[in-house]
Amino acid sequence: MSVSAVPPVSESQHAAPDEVRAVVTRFLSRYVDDPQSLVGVRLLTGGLLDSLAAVELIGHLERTFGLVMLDEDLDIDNFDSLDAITAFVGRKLDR
Amino acid sequence: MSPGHDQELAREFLRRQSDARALGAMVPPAHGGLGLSHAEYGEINRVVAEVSPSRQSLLTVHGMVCRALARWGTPAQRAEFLPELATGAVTGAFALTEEGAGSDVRRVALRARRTAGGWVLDGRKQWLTFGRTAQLFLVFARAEDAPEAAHPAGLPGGGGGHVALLVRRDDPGVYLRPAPPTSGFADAELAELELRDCRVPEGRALGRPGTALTHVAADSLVLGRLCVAFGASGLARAALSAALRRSVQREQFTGPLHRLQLVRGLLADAAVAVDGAELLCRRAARALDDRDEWAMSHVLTAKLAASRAATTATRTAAQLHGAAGLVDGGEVDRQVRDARVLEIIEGSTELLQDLVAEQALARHRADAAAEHSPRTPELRGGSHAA
Repeated sequence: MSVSAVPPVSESQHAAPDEVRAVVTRFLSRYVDDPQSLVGVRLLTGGLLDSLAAVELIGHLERTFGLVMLDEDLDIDNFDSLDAITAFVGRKLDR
Repeated sequence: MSPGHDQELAREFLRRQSDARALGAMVPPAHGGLGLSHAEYGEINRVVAEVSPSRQSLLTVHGMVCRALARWGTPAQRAEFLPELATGAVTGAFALTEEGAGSDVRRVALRARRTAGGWVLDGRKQWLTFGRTAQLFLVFARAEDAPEAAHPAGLPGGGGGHVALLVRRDDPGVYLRPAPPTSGFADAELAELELRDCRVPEGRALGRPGTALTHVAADSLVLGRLCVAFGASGLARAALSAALRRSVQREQFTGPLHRLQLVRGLLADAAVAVDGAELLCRRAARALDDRDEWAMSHVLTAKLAASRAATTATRTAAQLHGAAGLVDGGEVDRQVRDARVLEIIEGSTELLQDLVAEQALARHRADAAAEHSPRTPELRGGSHAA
């Protein structure tokens, strides 16, 4: 089994928005030639990332931040940009 | 689970399809299912497909519906649907493909209109595996009131505006008819589904509009592809056995066929393909069970390799049977036809090649990035590696 690039962070630990954003950016960079192309765009509805990347991102957030994704979290607005993903992870960790 | 239990569940499923315990394999125990691992469910699929790839395909689609509900259903949806799916009292069908939407699922055009009391559906779905006998359909539709719905189909975009809805067979406006007879999957009860002014009540959507293709379908397809991969490896093993039997029994020239060098070449290539398929399937299942970060990549690789192994092995079996392999509906003829199906469903070989290449590139980029920043960033405190 391969090991996640980042050790899991328990929900009790604090992860600053910049750190969350860095983790997400590093993960999504594997799907694009230029990581800069991830900035300021609609990642999914804009067509930059495909559905496999979308599903793998969920798994990565669960593994890395110890999140449990609920049915109510399945909203495209939570996953469509770096800002949205960062804010979503922040809200989940604060709960 | 005790060793051999998956074999027992597979045999039971082959004996009594309607209420076999294997139908509850992907349902959590809290809802009356077995909650099996991917490795165990894969083995059941493999063993069933050695006998009948058609019937194994019920495990694929039913499992996908169970998984979608277990993963993304609300507590109320899980409580309503999963217990009946777990016993097999209700079987599920995956309604994604349309006349204009095959490999490119973003072209799904079946219309879903929001109303005060729920949704109204209009449109057609094709090639529903075990659709004729299903009582619950996971229908992927284009939500008309979503902003992205105005975009013409085919433009780049994610799953914008699409919604996944649970439709019962006895909902008003549900019409089923048998699909045209196919050369493979003869016993897969293929159906066409037409929804005309079909009204489903509130509480039937999985996730919110916009996530149906990007998350619900894509996640279900991970399990679907694993099932097809295991099914293909089972068919491939059965075909290899048929080829080996024939090579021992059939005598031509100075002895049995297996003494001929060209025949040995065919047998060797088939044996290597089958062994490889089995190993890749088991690696993929273990990766899913372990939540390995490259699990999806392993599933795609297994599906591509195993469906091709089925083609290789069935072609070898047919070739060694000579004219006897051409008999319409005979064992090896059916195996060849079913193998064709497995290179199409849950992603054609060419689509899978595209996805496997993407995963290989992702792995390459991730490895290169790790080399450039060997220190693992710490997510504690306030600093991080850029």
